[in-house]
Amino acid sequence: MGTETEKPGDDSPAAAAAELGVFEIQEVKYSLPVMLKELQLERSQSHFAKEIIDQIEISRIFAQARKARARIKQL
Amino acid sequence: MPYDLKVMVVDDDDHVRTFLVVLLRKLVSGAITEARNGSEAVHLYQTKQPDLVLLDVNMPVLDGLDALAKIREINPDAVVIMITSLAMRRVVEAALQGGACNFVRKDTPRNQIAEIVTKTIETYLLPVSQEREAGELNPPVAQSDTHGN
Repeated sequence: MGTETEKPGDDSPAAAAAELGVFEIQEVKYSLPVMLKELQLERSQSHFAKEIIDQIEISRIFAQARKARARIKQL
Repeated sequence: MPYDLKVMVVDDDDHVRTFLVVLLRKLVSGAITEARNGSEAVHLYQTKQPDLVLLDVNMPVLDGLDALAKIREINPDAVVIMITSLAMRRVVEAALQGGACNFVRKDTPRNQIAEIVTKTIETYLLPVSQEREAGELNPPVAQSDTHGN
């Protein structure tokens, strides 16, 4: 009496996390629209946006846009 | 054979403007107007009505992207080639969304810049001038008459 005894048994990471009050992630669901929005935001704000691009890449971007416009015009 | 087009070159650096004017003299036979900043460019665009504009991105008073927006307000079909020494992806994409027809880095070799300008003229300006000429030669009424409609 008066002494604490150790509980035998569950010493798994899940039990340890529960003991620490940390939730274990069971499943993650990604929403495509949310992910695309985040990607767009990242592209406009991060280092990606500040990336210096060469003339070949610039020409590629504009050529793609030209093709897209031409396709829209055809429709 | 040079194209009979009016061009405006916009850059705050005198040397860059001179370089571009010399290059353009071989490509176009029309008047070449020079502007030193975006505000001057917008004003001159209204008075000179150039067919093609070469517009620097980083300029005092009014920068290139803002000037592009104002020029496109005046003429939604304005043909503008942006020029810059530091081509950041964000700026290139903003120019594209703003309606620029092309984008050139200033450190691009002279012959390649000439190619880009020529391609832009052939893509955006020649079809328009050909349509205009065809319209002048064959007005719509005359065209329908020849087809018996």
